[in-house]
Amino acid sequence: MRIRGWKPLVLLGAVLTGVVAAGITGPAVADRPAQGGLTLAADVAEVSAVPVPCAKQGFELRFGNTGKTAVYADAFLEAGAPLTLSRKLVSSYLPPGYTLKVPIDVGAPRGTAPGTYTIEVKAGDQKLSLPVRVGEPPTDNSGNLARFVPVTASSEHLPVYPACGAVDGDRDSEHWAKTTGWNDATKGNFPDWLQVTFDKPETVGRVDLYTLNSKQYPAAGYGLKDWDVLAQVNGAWQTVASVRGNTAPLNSSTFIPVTATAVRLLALASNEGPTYSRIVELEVYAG
Amino acid sequence: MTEDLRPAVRMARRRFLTLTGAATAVAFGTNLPGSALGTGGTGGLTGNPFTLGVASGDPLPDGVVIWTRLAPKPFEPLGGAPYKEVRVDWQVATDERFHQVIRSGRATARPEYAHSVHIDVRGLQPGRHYWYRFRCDGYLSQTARTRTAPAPGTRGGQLTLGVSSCQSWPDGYYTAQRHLASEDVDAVVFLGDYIYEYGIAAAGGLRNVADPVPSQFRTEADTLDRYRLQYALYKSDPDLQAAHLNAPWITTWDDHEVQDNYAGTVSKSNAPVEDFLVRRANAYRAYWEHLPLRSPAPQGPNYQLYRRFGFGRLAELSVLDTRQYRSDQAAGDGWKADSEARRDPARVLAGQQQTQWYLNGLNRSRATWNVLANQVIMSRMDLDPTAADLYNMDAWDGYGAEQKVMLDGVAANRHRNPVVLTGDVHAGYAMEMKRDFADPSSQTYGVELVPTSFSSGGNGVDVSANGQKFLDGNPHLKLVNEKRGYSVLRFDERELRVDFRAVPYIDKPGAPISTIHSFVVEAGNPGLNSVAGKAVR
Repeated sequence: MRIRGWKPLVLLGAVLTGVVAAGITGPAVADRPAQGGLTLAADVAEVSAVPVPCAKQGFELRFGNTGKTAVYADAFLEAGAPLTLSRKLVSSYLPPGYTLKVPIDVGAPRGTAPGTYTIEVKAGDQKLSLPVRVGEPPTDNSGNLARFVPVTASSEHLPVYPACGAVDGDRDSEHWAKTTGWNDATKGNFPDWLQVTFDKPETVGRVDLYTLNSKQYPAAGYGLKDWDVLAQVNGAWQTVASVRGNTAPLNSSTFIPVTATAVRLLALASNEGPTYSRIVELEVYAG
Repeated sequence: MTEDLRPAVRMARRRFLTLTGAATAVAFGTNLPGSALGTGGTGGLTGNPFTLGVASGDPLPDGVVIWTRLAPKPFEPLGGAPYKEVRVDWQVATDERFHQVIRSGRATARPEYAHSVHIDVRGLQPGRHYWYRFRCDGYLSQTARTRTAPAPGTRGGQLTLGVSSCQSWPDGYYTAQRHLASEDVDAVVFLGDYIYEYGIAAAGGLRNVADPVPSQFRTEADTLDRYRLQYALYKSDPDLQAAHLNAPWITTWDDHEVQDNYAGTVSKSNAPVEDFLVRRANAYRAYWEHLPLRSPAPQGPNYQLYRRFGFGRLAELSVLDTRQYRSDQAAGDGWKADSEARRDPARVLAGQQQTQWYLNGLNRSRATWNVLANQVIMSRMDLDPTAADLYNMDAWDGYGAEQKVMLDGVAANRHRNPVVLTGDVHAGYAMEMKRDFADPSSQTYGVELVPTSFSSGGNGVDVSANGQKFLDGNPHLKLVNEKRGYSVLRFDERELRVDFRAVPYIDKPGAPISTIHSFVVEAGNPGLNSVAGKAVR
C-alpha cells in the first residue's frame, strides 16, 4: 500500500517538532559518476556452450581500473535470450592499476537452438560484446538416464562439491574435491538427498551408487553407509530400494521396474559418522 | 527444559505484531507485494523498497544510528533500485504512534552504497526508548523501537543485553531471532558471522524451501554485488528483521563476513594479497552497508570496527575485531598440539594497537562491569582430555603470546568485573577465567560466556562427543550445550545474571524457547554460580 504523508500510523496528527537532520547519510564522496579509466575484457574471443544442465562453460571477465584513484565500479552484464548468466552485475573495489578477474558461468537451457548469441557488458563508458556459440546437445548411449538431465540436492558444499559432479560421467574418486562429486553442506544432519528429474516418464529398475572411495578416503571410512532410493511415480514418491551398512565403492540396487519422472537418493548415514553424504556418481538405468 | 514465556515477553510479542502488520515476506524471483501499485513515482522505484527491514545500532547517551536499505527486488541487480540517488524521509518519535516526533529529516540513498541509509540521530535523551520509521516513494517502512544508553556517570539501574552470533541462513530457520525479538533487551550484541560467504543450493539447506533459492546464489560471495546479494537473502528473513525491530544492535564481524578463517591479509586459499584485499574491501563495504554503523563507510580494504560503549557507571562494552589485524594461523590452522609457532611473540590476533587500546580502556574504566564483545575463544580450551594438549589454531589459543598479554591484563583488572562474550563455536559454554587453567583451585578473575549460535550448526545436540572432551579436559568449563539460541545478560550493581536460552530444533519453524541454564556472577567476586538448570559438573 502506498501512502501520502505519514498517515497510516499517525492517528491524531503528527506534532512535527524541529526538523533536524544530524549527519544525513553516508559520506559525500560519490565515485559513481567519475567512473572513467575502466576497462572491460574477456579471456576468450568467443564462448562455446552446449544446451544441457550442469555444463561447465563461460568466461572470465576482466574488469580493470587504469585511473589514478581507487574506485567502486559496476559492470552490467546481459545475455541474449534464452542464455543465462551466473551474475548480471559485477561491483567491486578497484585500486588504481588493478584488474579484477571474475568467472562468469553461461547457461544455455535445454532446447536452445544452436547458433551464435551475444553477451553485452557495460561499465561507465566502456562496452564489451562477446559472442557465444551454442552447439548441439550431447547425447548418452550408455542407457544412464541421469546424464544430461536436471539434478538438485538438499544442499551442496559449494563451490567444490556441486550436485552436478554426481552426474558428470566421472566415477573416479581420485578426482574428489575437483567438482566431480557431490558433498552436502549440512554437517552432521541427515537425511540429505540428491535427485535427478527426467523430461518424461522413464522405466527405472536399477540405481548404481558410486560413493567416495579414494586412497585417502576409502568407502568404508568415508563413504555412504545407509540410503533409500525413491522414485516419483504418478506424482508420488515411493521407496524402491533400501541399502544399509554399505562399505563398497559401488552399490547397485535393482528392483521391480517402475515408470518414474524423477529418482531421489535419500542419504541416511555415512561410514564416517555424523558428518556428510559423499557421492562421486549416481547412475540410473532401466534394469 | 521448561517452556518459559514470561508476561513481558508476551506483551512485547503482541506489540511487535501490531507494528509489523505490513512486514513483507520476500518471495524468490517474483515481484513483491505492493509492486503493482508502486510503478513510477518520484523515486523511480518499482515496489515496496523496505523488503530488508529497518534497524538501529551503536547506541550512545544522546544518539543512535537508524538504518534501512531500499531494495524493491532484493535479489535483482542493485536490489531493483534505480541507478541513481533516491530520497528517503525518516522520523524518530518518543511514542510508537508517532504523536511526538522529535527528530525527522530527509536522507539520500546512493547506489554506490547499495541505496542504504545510515542516519546518526543525535540530540536524544539518555536511557530511553524511541521509535523510528522511514518513508520513500509513498511507501512506509516498518516501525521499530530503539533505546539510547544511560547518561555517563549514571549509577545503578539495570542493563539487559541479548547476545548471540553465527546465523548461517541455510543451516535452519531464524526461530531464535524471532524469540529474541520478544525479549525485553536494551541492546543486542552480535559477535560475528552475520552472513556466510558460501554459495547456497536451490533447496536452501536445512530450510528445504519450496520456492527455490535463485541461481545467482550458487557462487561463493567474492565481489561487492555478490556480498550484497548474500545480505539481501539474510536480511529478507522476517524473523531476523523482527529481532532488529526490537532493539539496537551492536555488531562485530568474524571471518565469514569475508571468508572462512581468513587472517588479516591471508586468505584461506592463499590467494595473492593484492586480490584478497580487493575481496576484503568488497566484503567490508557490504557489511557496513547492511548494518546500523556510523559513517563514514569503509573506503578500501581497511575499516576500524573496534570501539567502545558506555552504559552509565553500570557497564562498559568494548567491541573487538580479531580478524583484520591477525597473523596467519600457526601450523596450518586446525586443532594442533602446542608448538613454538603457537607461542611466537611476533604473531598477533587483535594486534598490539587494539590490545593496548582495550587494556588501557579497561584500566581507566570506572564501570562496575566491563564487558568485551570478542569473536574466538579467549580462555584456554584443550580438546584432548588426556595429559596431551590440542588447541584451536584459529582461536586465542593459537596466538599464545598475545593471549597471555590479554589474559594477564584482564586478570590485573579482576576488581573491574571482566566479562568476555565469545562467538564462533556454535555452542553454549560458560567458563571461569583462571590464573592457571590447569589448576581448579587457582584464582578466578573473570568469566567467559559463549552464548551459542543463532542457527549455524543446524539443530544441534545437547553435548556432542567433542563437547564431552572439552568438559573432560577443561575444569574451568562449567556448561556445554550445543543447541541454537542466545543468551540474555542482566546486569545491575550487585550481580550479572545470564540465561542460556535455546530452541530444540531449527529445521522447521516454530520451535519454543526455553532457558537451559542460568548463572549468577556477583560483582566483586568473579565466578559462575549456577542458579537454574541441570548441574553440569
